[in-house]
Amino acid sequence: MIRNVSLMVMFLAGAVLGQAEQPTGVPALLEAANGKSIRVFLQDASDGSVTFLPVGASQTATIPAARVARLEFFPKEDLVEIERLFMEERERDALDSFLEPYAPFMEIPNALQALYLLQVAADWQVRDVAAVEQAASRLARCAGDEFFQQQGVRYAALVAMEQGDANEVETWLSRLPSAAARAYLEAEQLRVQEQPEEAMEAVIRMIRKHANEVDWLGPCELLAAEIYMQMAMTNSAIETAGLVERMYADSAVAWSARTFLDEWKQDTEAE
Amino acid sequence: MGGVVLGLLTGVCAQSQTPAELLKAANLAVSEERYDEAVSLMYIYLNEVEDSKAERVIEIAQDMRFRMATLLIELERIDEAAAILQIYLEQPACAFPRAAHKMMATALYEIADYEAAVEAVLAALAFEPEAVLSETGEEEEEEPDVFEQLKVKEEEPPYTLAEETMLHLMLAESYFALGRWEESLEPFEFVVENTEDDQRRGYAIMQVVNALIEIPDYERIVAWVPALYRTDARYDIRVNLALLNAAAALFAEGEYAGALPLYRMMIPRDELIVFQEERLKALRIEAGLPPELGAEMTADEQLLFGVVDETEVATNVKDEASGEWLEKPKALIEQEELLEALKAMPPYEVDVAYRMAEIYRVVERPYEALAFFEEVYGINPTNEIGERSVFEMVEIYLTALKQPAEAEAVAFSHMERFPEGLLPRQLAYALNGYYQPKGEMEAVKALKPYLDGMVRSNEASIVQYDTELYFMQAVADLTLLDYAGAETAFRYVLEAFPNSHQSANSLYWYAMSKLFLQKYAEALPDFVRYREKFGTGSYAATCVYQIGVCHFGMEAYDEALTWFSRVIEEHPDADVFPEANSMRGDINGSRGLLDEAIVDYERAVDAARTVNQATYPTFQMAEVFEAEDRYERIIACVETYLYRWGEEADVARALFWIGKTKIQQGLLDEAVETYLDAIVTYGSNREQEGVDLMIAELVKISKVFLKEEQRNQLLGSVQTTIAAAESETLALRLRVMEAELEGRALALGGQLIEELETLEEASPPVLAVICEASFEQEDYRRAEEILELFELYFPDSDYRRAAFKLRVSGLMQQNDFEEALATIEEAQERYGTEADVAWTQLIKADALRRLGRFDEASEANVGVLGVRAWRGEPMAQATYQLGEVEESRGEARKAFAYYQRTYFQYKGHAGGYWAAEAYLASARCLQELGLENDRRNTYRAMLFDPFVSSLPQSEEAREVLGDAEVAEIELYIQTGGVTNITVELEGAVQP
Repeated sequence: MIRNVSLMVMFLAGAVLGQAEQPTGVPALLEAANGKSIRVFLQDASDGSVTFLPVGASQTATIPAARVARLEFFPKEDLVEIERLFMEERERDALDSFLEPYAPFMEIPNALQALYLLQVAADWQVRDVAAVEQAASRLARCAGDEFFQQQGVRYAALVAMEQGDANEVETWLSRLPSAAARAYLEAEQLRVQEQPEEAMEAVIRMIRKHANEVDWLGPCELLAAEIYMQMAMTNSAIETAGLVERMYADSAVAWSARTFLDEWKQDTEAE
Repeated sequence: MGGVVLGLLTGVCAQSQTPAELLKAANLAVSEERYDEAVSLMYIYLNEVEDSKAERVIEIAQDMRFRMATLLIELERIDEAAAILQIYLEQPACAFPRAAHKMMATALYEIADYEAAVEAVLAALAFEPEAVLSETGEEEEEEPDVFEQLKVKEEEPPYTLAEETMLHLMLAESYFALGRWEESLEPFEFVVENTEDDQRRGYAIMQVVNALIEIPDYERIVAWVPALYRTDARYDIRVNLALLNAAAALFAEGEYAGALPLYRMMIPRDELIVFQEERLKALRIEAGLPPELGAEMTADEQLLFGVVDETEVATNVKDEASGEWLEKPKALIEQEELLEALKAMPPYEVDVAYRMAEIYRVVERPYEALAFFEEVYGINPTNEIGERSVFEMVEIYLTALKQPAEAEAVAFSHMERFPEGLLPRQLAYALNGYYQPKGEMEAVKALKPYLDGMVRSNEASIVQYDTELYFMQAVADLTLLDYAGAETAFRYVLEAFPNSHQSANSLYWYAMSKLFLQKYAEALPDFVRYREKFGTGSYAATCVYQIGVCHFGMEAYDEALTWFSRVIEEHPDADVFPEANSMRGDINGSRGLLDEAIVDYERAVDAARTVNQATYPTFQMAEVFEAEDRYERIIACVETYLYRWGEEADVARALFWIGKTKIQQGLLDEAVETYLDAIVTYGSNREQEGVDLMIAELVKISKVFLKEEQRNQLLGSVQTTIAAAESETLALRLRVMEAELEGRALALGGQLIEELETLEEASPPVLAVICEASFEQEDYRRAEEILELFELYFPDSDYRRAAFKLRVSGLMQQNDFEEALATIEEAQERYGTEADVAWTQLIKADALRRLGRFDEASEANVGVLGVRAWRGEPMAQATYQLGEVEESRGEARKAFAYYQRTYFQYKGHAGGYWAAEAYLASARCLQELGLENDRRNTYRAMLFDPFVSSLPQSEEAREVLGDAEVAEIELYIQTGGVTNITVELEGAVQP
């Protein structure tokens, strides 16, 4: 009997839900800084706040993003396949369309940030400065994950370098606690300023002093390849990029290294 | 041993006991920690109850086996423990099967029975409790109720994750020890995934890497390396050492993407020691020891730790409180031992830096390689890797970065500091190898002081390097046309390194150096010696030819002919075969044997392997045919030459000959047309010197053969072409031609000095008219520039002589005698003692005199007298200059003798110029000697001398003698009188 009542309640609830309007937003499990979790439909994230509609609620709520420890998404897409397409087939459409709804929430730690970083790397490769600037500012606000936050700062600094805004570069550099990160970006800056020999010296200093800072070593070594190219030492550039691709396999920097090699190959064939 | 004796004794006593008493005694022994005795009693008990079928007895026996296995492990009697556990697991009423499996696996692993350990771990991991059976022996259809399940779990819970991880680690290690690398991977990966100990995770990753190296599967290694980066395992000494081995293996396989990050992960020894000392402190504190090994205990520490200090790794420590010796924890002992081993190691990071530098070098990352090689070199420049590093640095600068200045800085510094051994030679050799193929011989010569500074050795490899390096020095001298230097240098190789691998080459080039210096008589025996010593050497056939050249130079033409013939007959494949034919052709031609000469030249042309070997005999033939008026043959041989050598041929010169032939055939218009066409076609190319020959020839034709109307027509054509010329080179050539036709070449030269800002477009004849005009005007401003242009673009041009002369004259005017001597030396090396370069020797003598180097000056002047080609005017000047030398050093009498000889013997030369100068100089000497009468007699003799009396210099004699005496002398001469006035000096040395 009890069992039958339960079935009836479930049936009724289903009927009510079936009549209700489907909530909009990105479904996610929101883990608050105080340890509590709540299922929500994310609406927006801007100006350091996140707006969501709790499941079952009729009104949205807005709280400071800093109070959200983590977001767990429930994507239906095959993430492995999306990553494979991007890394191996150099196909980014699937990645772009997949990330689109999640992108606004990347200032909050979540499992999709690694994919997001790949997208940023791809945007940077084609110097889509506006896209990189926006993504960098999101990641740079991600206080809950130091790695992604520093990556955000890195790209923000790169954008500032590209725009020749020395003050902005300084501001971003001052936000990097890692000496390795600063050393790498200083080398980047010298390359942008077309001082390849000085840039190479900075790269070498970085490699020697921070040989185990693997998060920064990869970008720095790829930078070495770019500097060699700037110096017209093509063989060295190609060898270095090839080594980077192998040493940092399956990472954003490996993707960038492969792209570097592909572009060189295309240029060579065009000549 | 003690256990066995105790067992026997126990056995004797126990034989009389019942199983219950045995059980009690065993329990008592266990409680009193008499484990050996307890085990013996247990053995007896188990023996007693072995056949019992009673469920309770079986349960007790199993329980005893389990406890007994525990004791045996405690007593390190692992074999026995394993055997007991095996029985325990096989018997019913096994209450702790998982624990037993785990204990057995551990025991087997501890005694290194890895095959058995693998089986035991697999059994432990695969263990599932038997399903509850019904009385009929079939499985119950319904699951046991929840209560029963809980009961089972309470009896023996499943393995915790930590236990499972440990079992996987044992399994992995056992596989690894058995060399079953592939199988070890999965359990190691389980450990990596599940352990909470970061050090253990790192260790497991390291073992995965090691297994993958053994397999080998380098791709998977590279994939694992970043994971290892993120653990603290790198601080484990064993892992660190394993990293080193793994990296070395990857390096050896050329797997640089794997090796490089591993090397980077290596923690420097000192840093590792600091880390491990901290860890040791923690372990010691944990073990109740003071944190510092060997530290003197303070009262506070004694209060805190309550234990003794000790100074070295020991397995036991004495507890001050109880006075007992306590066993140190195994982990602490291991840590202390590892730390001791680490401290005993030399700092390995230098080797690591060297390896990384090597990788960067191999993967063409030169800047990174340099940085690491520099680091290694800086630490110890004289050990093996330090030396290799400096060599690699030099190689990188030279080959990858093309920065020879930096390479030199590094190499020279090392060579200066460490002039001993093989390395400085290798560095010099590397620099040499860079410069020599580029023809940068000045840079090769810059190595000489460093070679000279190296410490000599009899070691074969060093001697070989020294030989090679000094041989290269000599080659550099030769290439720089410093033949005297080359002669000295090759002689040094021969004398300092007798019977070396370069002896044959050195001997040949030693002789060649002398040949270039026209020391034919000295070169000859060396070529002969080469043939005697190195009859099968690569220059043997060439030596036959060079011997002929020596004889030719010594004007021993019969001998020369013989040797050239030997080449022709005996060495038809020799490189010098065409030259031998050309030379023999020249001799035959000079003897009027023109048909024979033609045959030789033709053979030379046919055998020519290079265009130069064909060019010379072709145009020599043309000369012969011209002498015989066989113009059709000239056309034939020149056209054959053009056909065979095509673009390589000296086309302009060939056209010159074709035009010349047409002139001789009376086809003047055709000749002029041919020349003009060729001049316009090739005249824009400054290097086509045949064009200049044609211009000279056209000028000659114009002056000799053309009528005024034709001349004007030619001039008009030239002027029209100048106006239309787009090339400045062509225009300048034609302007010179125009000026020559109009007889105003000197004026044009003067005009061009001012007009041309740069002489880059000027061909040799253009430069020559500028030289002549400059010389005439004593304007030496552009002398240096012109000579440099010749050096750069027309080193073999005949017009270069004028540039040398202008430059030397300019330097003499500036009193820059040293530079003048250097330039003269260069000119002499190039032109030797050819007739029109006598001035080189004369100015050389004058420069030496003005430098106060009187003996050398005398020698130089005497050198003029010994050259047949310089007979005549140069001898007159040389004799006069000998007088000047003596006069300059205050030897008036000796000077007088030379002057007197000048006006006696050479008055017919140079229109009496030198004789006149000599009269005046004699008078000057006599005045110096206070011999006024003799002085006046000299002036009188001058006026009586018809070769000089009308020259401007005689005015001085007229002034001194006065009008009256001069009138008297002139009258005397007019009446047909002659004089026998001579001045003889006592003590005058006759030259």
